[in-house]
Amino acid sequence: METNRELFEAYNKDVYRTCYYMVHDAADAEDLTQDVFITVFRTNRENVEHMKAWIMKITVNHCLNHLKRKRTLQQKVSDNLYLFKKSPETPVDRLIEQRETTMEWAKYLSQLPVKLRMVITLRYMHDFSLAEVSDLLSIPLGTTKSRLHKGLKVLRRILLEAGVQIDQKEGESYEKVREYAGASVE
Amino acid sequence: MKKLENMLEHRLNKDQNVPYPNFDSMWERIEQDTTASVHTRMSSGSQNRGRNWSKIAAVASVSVLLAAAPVYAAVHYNWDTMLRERGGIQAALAQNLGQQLDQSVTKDGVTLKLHTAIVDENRTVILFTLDVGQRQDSETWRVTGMTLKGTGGGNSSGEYNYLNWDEKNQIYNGYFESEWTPENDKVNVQLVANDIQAFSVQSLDLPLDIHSTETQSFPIGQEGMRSIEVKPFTQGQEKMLFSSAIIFDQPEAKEWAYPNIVGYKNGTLINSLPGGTYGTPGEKGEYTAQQYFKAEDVSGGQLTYKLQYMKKEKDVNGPLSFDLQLSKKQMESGTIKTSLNLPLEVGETDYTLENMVVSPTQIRVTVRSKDIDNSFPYKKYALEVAGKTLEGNLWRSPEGEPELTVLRFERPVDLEITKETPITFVAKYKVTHHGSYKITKNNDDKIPLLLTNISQKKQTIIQQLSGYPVKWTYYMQGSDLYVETGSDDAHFGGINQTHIGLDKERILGKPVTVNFAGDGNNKAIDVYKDFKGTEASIYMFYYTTDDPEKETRVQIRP
Repeated sequence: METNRELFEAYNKDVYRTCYYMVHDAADAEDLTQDVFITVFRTNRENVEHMKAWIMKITVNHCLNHLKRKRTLQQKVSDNLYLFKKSPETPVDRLIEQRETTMEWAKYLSQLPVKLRMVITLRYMHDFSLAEVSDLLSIPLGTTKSRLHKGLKVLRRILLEAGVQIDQKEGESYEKVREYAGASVE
Repeated sequence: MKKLENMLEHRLNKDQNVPYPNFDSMWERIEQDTTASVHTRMSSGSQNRGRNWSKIAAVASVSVLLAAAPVYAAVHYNWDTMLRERGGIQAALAQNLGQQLDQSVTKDGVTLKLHTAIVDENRTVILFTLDVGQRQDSETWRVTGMTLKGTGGGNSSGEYNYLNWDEKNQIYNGYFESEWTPENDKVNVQLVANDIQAFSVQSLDLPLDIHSTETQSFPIGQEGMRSIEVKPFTQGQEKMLFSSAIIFDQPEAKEWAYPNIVGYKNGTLINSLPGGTYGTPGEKGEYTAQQYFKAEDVSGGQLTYKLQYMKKEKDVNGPLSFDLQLSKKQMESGTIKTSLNLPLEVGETDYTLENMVVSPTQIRVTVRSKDIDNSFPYKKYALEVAGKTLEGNLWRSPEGEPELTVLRFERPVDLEITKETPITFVAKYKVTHHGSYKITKNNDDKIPLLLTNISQKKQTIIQQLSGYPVKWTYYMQGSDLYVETGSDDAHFGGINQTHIGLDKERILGKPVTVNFAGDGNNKAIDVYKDFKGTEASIYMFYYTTDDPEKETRVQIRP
């Protein structure tokens, strides 16, 4: 069996990245990561068959609890987001730069409802199969499928609204974003 | 959607922009926290704290270090019956390639004794016996949670054990098999077994009315099971399907109860047909099963039904553990690894035979698929080796490599294989997927089928799919809409799942049947709970067609 240190080295980035994309806040993600590993080390893992899946399950639960705690406040803010929104005055060039950054992606994801975000993160960040995701979240396979599908749909809309061209090739997508952004400003 | 999926995979795994914290200082904080805690695990092997190993000795353990010595151990025991599916292990034993273990642990009058280990490039097999003292004829014993520890983690996949009652010697012969093999010359590991348990078969009357298509409920109140719901379906002319769901008060009993419905016709036992599925968790965690019966078996005559299940009679609590030193050194000389890179079908690049490992006990062929979502398209596979045909088993993909399929071929006892032996790979019975395999593919090419006048009355539409007539039957029962699909032509493989409407409004049909590709059963049932309305545009995700005659041959050597 791996030592605690080996486990920590092997999975700290996976755990952190998941938390980061789930909660969209670096400091919270750091605290959560630490809590996850403390839980992992305190639990008897002798009978754990699939270590990564098990750790991700703990991670998922920590994130969900955290979000649940935060939701009351956040909900109020996000439900009334229009009150806080300013008219867009960020220079176009900076917008384009930001668009491709991880921060932005964490932001796009954070606009997804938690349930959908969780499924998307597990499926595409960690490449868990649909069955494994169902298992991790203790939901039926059909629910996972529909959440994944819905998540992709909503995310596509979020990205389109943000002006991100959905394409496979990076360079190309950058160009298109530039074109798109340019056009919309003119 | 595919583009978005690719983009997500790429973005979410891109490291450089993630604001990673200082993990070293995080580790220090975690260390402080966990060492301060009283609840620290004792046996986690956390070497930083140096206070861990003392408690492990508390488990029943014998610590004997054994040198790897070739000994033919099958002198007193008849391993051959037990190993009839494991010719390669028999072959290794016959060549004295086993490593003698001879360790035993006795608890509550039950003795578990390890005899021989067979370790090669492909797997580790440990032969053991289980002496349970006076065994009742009604008892079936099993060993739970048998696993190898100290193998570097993550390797406990593909582990299982098998027991076979040896009437003559009044003892169980068993073997344990694991995917794991030692990386180095000699490796110290632990073989651990959780519990040793005895079970008996019990049954309970089930006053089932199979002519009613209503869901029928019966209390159970045995072995942790509260109640059962059964719904009979007619499947074509020749089959009946019983779809059942059991609610457990004691969920752990799902591990051993194996509940299933059996029939008695004029007192004679009628078993369900092969191809049923058991233990799929339902929406509320219930234990669901689909059992098929021959229609003529369950008609005419005096028919009664029973729920058969296993009752736990004895429980020897472990863990029982053995310290072992294993080595694959003696087997290495007989192991040949060959890289292949041959296409599965002439002129196709979708699947490639990537490599072959011939060990003294087994041959493994690894196939690479271009698309990770496509499973190996053939249902039967064999190797023709020097005029002999070895049937293969499909094994799951190695961890993290879903694009690989590993096919295993057990080596028969009397077959010598050298570097010159001719080997041909043969695959038969092709299954082809049609339509959106992934749920996330776009819907543009989806053509709906219109269900009209939906009512209690069963109505049928015939649709042509790949030239096969496919029958859609739909009807309301209570507030639920049932949609049955299937074809009388066996070349049609079946529809995996249906949905009504597209995009946001889409409702997924909940499969009543568990649909496997290439299982020879093309009949499927989906239910739409609380369906409102009299019309529906219905779609499917994909269907398969079967071509049992299709064969491909790949000459591996010479």
